[in-house]
Amino acid sequence: MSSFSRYAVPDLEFRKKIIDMSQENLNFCYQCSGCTGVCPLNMVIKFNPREYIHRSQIGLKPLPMDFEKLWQCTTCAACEDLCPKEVEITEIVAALRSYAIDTGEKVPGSYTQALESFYSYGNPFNLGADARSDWAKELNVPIANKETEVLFFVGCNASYDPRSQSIARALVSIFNKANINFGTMGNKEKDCGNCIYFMGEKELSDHERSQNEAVINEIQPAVIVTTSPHSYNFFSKRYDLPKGTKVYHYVQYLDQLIKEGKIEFTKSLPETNVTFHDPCYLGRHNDVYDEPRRVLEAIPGVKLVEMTNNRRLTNCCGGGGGNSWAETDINERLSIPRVNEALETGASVLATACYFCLTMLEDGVKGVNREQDLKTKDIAELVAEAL
Amino acid sequence: METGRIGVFICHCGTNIAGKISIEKLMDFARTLPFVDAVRDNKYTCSELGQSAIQDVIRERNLTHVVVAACSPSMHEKTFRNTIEKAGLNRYMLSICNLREMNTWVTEDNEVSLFKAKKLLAAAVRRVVTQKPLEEEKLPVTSRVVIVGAGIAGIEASLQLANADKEVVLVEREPSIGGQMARFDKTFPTLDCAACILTPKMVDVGQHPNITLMTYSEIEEVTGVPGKYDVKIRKKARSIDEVTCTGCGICEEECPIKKIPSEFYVGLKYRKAVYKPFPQAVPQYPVIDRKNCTYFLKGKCRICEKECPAGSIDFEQEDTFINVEAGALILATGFEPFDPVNIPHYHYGEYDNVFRAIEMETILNSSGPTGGDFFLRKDGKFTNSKPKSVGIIHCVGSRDENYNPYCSRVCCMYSLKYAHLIKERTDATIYQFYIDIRAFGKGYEEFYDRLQKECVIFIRGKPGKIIKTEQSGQEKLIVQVEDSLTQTPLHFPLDAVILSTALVSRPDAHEVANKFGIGCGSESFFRELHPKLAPVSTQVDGVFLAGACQGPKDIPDTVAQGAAAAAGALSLLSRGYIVNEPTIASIDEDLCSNCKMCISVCPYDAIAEDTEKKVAVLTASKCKGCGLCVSICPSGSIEQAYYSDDAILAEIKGIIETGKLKG
Repeated sequence: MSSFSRYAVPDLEFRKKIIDMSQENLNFCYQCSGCTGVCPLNMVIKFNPREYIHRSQIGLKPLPMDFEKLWQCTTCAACEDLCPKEVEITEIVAALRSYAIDTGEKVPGSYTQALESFYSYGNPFNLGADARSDWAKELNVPIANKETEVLFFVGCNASYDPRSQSIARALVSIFNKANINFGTMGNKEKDCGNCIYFMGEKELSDHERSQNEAVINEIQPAVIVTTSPHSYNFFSKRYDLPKGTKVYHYVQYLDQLIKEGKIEFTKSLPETNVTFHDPCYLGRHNDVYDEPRRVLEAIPGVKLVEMTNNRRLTNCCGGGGGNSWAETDINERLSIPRVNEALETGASVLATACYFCLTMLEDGVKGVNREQDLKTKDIAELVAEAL
Repeated sequence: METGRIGVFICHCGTNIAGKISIEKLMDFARTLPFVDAVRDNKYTCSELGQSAIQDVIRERNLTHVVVAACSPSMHEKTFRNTIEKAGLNRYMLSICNLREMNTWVTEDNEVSLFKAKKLLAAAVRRVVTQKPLEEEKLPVTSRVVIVGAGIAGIEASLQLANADKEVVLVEREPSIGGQMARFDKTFPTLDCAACILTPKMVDVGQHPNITLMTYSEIEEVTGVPGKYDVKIRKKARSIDEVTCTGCGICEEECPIKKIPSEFYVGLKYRKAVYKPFPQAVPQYPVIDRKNCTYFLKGKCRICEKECPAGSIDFEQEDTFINVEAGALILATGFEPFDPVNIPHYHYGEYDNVFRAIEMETILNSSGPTGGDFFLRKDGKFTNSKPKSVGIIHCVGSRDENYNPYCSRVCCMYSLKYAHLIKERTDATIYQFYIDIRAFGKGYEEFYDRLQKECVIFIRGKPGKIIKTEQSGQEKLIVQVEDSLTQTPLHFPLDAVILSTALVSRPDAHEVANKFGIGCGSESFFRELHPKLAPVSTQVDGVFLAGACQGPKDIPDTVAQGAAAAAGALSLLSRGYIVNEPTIASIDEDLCSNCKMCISVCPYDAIAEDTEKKVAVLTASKCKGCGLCVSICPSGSIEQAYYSDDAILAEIKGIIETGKLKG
């Protein structure tokens, strides 16, 4: 065979692994290239989902540089939303990342750091698991037990990241004002598993998930409310939960509380034009588009103005799939074009409902030096301000 | 001296004509021409409005002749003849001036185009006054249809007509009906068992009281006229008495000549010298292959004769000729599978495990050489080992200017079918090397989707070559291809390669077309009258086409066309007559010198010598008005109605007197 060495011979083992890990999603693709055509990453780098899929289909490993680039996929699912064959492309990305980790392909440093921290501490911040509920110390947040009705699943960033903690605090104040019987898992809360799943660490993800499941099964809550759309995604799709337990992302829950009259706005915000950035895991992954908008419009003083790319067409903040913990060159940040879109609306507040989006977009506003013109807020923060 | 009141109707044809020339200027010019009484224009003259405008002017101005300056006469001459007839004129008092195809579509310069238009119009006006009223003749139609070819197209057409209580004579060259479809194991996209859906129809044909089945027979000659064709059929000597033979098969069992490559199984299986081509053959009686029979070769043996319990072996039988009169003819002669032996890159016929499509159909067929299993070959013989990896190369001999430029339409789908069947029977890894996947039919895209889900690997690229190597004594075929979607040159070491070969026309297509007076297209498929609006009709009245003889087709389309051809024939038979155009030749006996030149050139056998009067006489019903005799007659004794010398000279006059383009 050596005389034909210029020609590659496809590796069917590789193909089979990716097929198995991606639940056979590969086989549906007919290479229309819609995924590449719609991928927001192409605003900042050259990125070709179609080729990753095709190479896997025919047993050709991505080139080393493409393996590295793969980590920049934010799993925002713009591709899945368009895909005419309903290929779950994010599953293929996750499978390829798993393969890269297992076979010792080079994983860029900042992703490795986050993953190592997950292994050691169950969070991406290299902070102790016993510090998870420190944010709640002064707030008297109850630890959930069998009597608790609503389990508030806080999530890693809202637990450890100072900026994101503000969302958790806002939610606590809302729950208190609405007299909700709620509690958190305290330090027993583990990572929800969503991000590490899509980063390819599926076994770790399973491990974290089953630990959470065990605690939840003891509590038997009627409702689980998550801060993060990522947690919501994993809870609603992959968690084995007690029968009858309902899972909500907090915007869905707030929407319901407003409808039921349990939240009463006592203050009005100053007349404010607010634009809303759809988090991918809320919108495209779970079709939750109306609830965040209804909640925003219920806040006195808020006028909702839409960006051109909204709902299914939303562009990405750049934070999904582990990218919020990674260092990205400023020229390759998706948050910059997204913030520019928000600025075009003339809104003074860019609202979102995900702590990754919040972090990324806030960075983006700083990146274009427009902190004076555009504030980034989480919907929970805006609601809490008006109570 | 001619006289008349001519109406000139100039069509804009949207912008097809009006976009190139000034209609107004042409109208002004028309008014200067002799006998022109009225000049009108219309955006679309062929529309209902345009036609009724012509009729109004005919009545108002009491017109005697009409010139329509529009598109080609082959497009709308009939339309406008009907138009003027309804307004009370004889339908032959019309002349069409072709401004579109012969002028505005093909002339670049606007001024040249207008000048050309004037010349053409002058010619038409000059000519039309020479035209005389003509009457059309109605010829009776014989209520019988001869159908040639008993594949699925011919079978469908036969059954449709027979069920409408029309008499059908179905002629098949091979010893059994069934055609190519009888070779298939499964059909895409539903994976129906081909035999299960075809065999009942074959049996119906064999038993239908309205169908006379003539297998092992060929069309010798077609004469006669539309509505009343005389078809001479050669019934080849089968050497079997069809009346007494019970189809018991003892003769075949006893025949000692065993190693004749079977035509039906494309040489992958042997047959005897007396044989039935395949188990479900219709009719059930066998045929003796005289080229290979020991008795015919050496004058002795006669074992079959001895063993036949019914005494049906008849070595003395001779070819017989049967004449059938028919009102309509349907050609359903099918296709030939392309032979890839001349494509050097793929080494078909050289490497044991490079197969072509029709071989694959046969191999996958449960009555085939391997009972439906796919085994590899070694030294030309099937082994017991199944392939673990199979490549299917699309577009072999199709979409390729070196072989056939067209798309054969079925290869994508049968390639997918093979992938499914081979996977089911061998669990091999299957690769499809494709250029485009064309899954256009109902349920086809869904079938493609299904095969993708069945883990078939699709490589977009035309393999450049197949390289033979050996791995532990077994032939390995390395398919060398660029995966165009990643621009990666690849080598796939495979156990077997299947070439998805084109569908080509029959080698004798031209000869057959000549017999029936129809034409062949550039790829030797029979030419239909109109690719969209008359896909089963031909230039010859009463001759219809069905199935792949007209172009590559899948089974659904073939069956649909079989039924459509039957409908075409049926409408002719049910109406009962054919209109014969009166634009035919006539011979002035007084001028004829009996030189017989006209007889020799007539392609329709319409002229014969009256031996008593010593002149040529013409059978009007056979004449098609081709004009050959008119032009060859040295004494000027033949004239063709509508195309008289006067008319042609008048046209020339019109062109000449319009003068020259200035500058």
